Amino acid sequence: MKYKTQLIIILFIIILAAVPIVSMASPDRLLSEVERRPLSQLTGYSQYLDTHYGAGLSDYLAYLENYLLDQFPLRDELRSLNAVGRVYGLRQRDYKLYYKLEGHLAKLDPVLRPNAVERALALFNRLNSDLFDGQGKQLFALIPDKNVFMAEKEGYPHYPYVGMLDLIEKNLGGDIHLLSLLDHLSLDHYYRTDPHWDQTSLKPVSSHILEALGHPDYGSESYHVSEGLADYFGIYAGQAALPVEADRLSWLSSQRLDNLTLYDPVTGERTGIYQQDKLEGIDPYDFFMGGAKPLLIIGNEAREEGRQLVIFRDSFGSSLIPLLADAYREVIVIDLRYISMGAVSDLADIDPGADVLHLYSMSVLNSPGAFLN
Amino acid sequence: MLFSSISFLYYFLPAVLAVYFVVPSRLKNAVLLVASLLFYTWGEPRFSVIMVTTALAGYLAGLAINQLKQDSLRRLALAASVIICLLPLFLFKYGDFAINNLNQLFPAALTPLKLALPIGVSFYTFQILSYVVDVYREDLEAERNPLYFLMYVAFFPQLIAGPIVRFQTISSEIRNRKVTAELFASGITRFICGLGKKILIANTLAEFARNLSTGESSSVLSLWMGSLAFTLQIYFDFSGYSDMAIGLGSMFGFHFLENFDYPYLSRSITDFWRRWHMSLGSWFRDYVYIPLGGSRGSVAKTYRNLLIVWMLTGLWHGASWNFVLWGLFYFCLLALERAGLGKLLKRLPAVLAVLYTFLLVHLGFVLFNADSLGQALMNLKGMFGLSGLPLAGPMAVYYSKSYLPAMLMALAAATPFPRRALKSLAKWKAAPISDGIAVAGLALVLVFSTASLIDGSFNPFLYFRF
Repeated sequence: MKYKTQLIIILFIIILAAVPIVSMASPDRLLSEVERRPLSQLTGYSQYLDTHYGAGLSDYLAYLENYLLDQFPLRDELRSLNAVGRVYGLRQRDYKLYYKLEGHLAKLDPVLRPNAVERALALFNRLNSDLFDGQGKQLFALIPDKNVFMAEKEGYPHYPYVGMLDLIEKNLGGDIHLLSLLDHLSLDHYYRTDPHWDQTSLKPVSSHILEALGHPDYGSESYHVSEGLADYFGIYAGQAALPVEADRLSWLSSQRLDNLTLYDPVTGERTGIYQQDKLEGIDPYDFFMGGAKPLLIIGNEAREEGRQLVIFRDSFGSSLIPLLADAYREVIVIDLRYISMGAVSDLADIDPGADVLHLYSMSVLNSPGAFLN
Repeated sequence: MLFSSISFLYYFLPAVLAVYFVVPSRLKNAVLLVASLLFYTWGEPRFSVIMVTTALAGYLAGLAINQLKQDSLRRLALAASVIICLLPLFLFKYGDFAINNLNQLFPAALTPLKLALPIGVSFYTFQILSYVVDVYREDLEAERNPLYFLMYVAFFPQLIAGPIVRFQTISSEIRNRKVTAELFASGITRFICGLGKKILIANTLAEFARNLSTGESSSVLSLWMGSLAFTLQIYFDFSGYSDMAIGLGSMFGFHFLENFDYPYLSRSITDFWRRWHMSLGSWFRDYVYIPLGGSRGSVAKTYRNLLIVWMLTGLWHGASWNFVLWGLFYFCLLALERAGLGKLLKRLPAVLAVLYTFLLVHLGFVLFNADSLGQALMNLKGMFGLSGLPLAGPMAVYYSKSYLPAMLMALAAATPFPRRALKSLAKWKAAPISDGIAVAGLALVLVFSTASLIDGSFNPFLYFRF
């Protein structure tokens, strides 16, 4: 038998045999830390039928295929190998819409969807006229996504920040003032491995917003930058599966920030604005105000005579809002992706004369059907 | 079950190979039959009965034709068996097409059946038909062992997407075959090459075409690049599947005939159809064209026969008018080449003849790939700037740049040059070095294909719809 023939047969048998043996010998993983999702677990046929109404054998077999994919040995490493092969081997400019530039990962969002933006703005206009009497300041701040600072440099397609700003301006109700954040941000203000911005560099942004809300004096507070989490891999790192240097997840602290309280009316839980236990969780960015929450109320005993601020926000707000809260007696934080306005009214007392801030990133506004209302 | 799935690659195949090589020779066919039925049931639990029943009908028809002495009775048995074998194909594949067309003529006369298409029905039906006709023609003896016959029909490497294997090709190997180390290793090599063609090339091109079609509104560039990507995708998808089938056959000691021979290097459309899906082309030649009289009659009859064959070829690929038009498109081209264009093409420089063929095949696949006749015509008009589309949009430019290396790699892989380069390397370097490179290359293809599957990449099989 030729040397080559022997080598082919032996290698093939080793690879084909090793996978099922290793797979059966190792316990099933419950979740993928990299992909931030639970992994499929093995379920017997009858148990599957009990839990999946109307399912049949072909559904079960499709589920089994998915289970095998999820529990495949070296799954994370193989995903990474595939992404590297596509981007560095085949020279694809992005893989599954993710691309890497100057050490940063970003996700392509190439086309502006005016319908999505207009629908969102119609909702915000309706909320403003229904809930507020116009006595307070009303502000809309648009958060640029990383593509704004990355895409054009290397010819990645992306709609311009100014284009979305113009569209918002055309559709925004007359009482709401539109605020551009572009001049106060650069790529360095964002994590390399995540879409979000880094709180430690947000002071110019918070000062700019507070000034627009009529509180120019509150933006000058000095903060202490914590050591933070050294090996932070954000959500893009897992999804893109491309090699990237870890970020440091640090945060700003001060006596005033430490005194802020956070109340979750949905769960009844009371905590501080920073939640240390989340640093050990699947998404350390949840450290800021507990992550994705439909409704939160920040209390500030130091400003008992102050006003109320109502913020409609997405996940970018989690790290910025603590820096705005010091100027207010109370901040009501609403994420309309997870709660309807009707439900908010039952859980929180909204002052019709409150200041209002709509704080949204471009990608959320550009997503059709992002909001519940 | 798909060849390009984790369940097949790392569970089904190793288990079947292990059992197959452990059991004594007399049980090997039983192992393959059980494995084949399990393979089909995994993907199509409901339709296994139809496949087995059709195979049984073919088996009984073969026996009956063999037994009958009177020619009229033999012909009757043949006709009956052809009708019985074609019944599921007509019902599941063409039922709604016929009903919808009837309803166009007589509004709301019939309710569409809305039946799912049993996977591989077009392939195994044609295999059974070829067997029955061959028995009728006395080209072969009817198979008396029903398990052997069922194994011929249901043998999992070729069951669901071909190649269309004739009974003569493997009948002796069903009874008696030997798997040598060389044959087994060549089967592994062929299988992994097919897997790589499917997963690493075809799926990447499919992703490119999908990105172009969903990224923005159409432009001339997006239509051309999308259709070019599809033209390459369908070749690597289908020839990759055929390679996997041939490779698997070799691993179990069978020798299947080739199904593709670098079709995109064809110098005419006539040449193309000798190199593309060869098992289907030869099937229509032997069981439709020649029985109709082939080219032995008058010129008019020859063209009539060609017209019938190409309309049927179109319909075989799908129950839709654009497939019929696709068949007619090839009829026209083949008729033109027969009428004199073929001679002219032979005088052209090879590069021009290849470009002529590739361009027409490419345009043919625009018809083939459209959801409807209307969409096909709209895409064709758009490609030639007749529908007011912009020349290029930013997304089309971006994705064309992004997938250019993959497209160039696919174009190169569609030629014999990479294989020739490996052979030259083998001559140039010492055998252990070139062998080592070849084996490492195979291992890399397997690992990267697995990585792509794990990453949940886009993984459809185009020929499963036929």
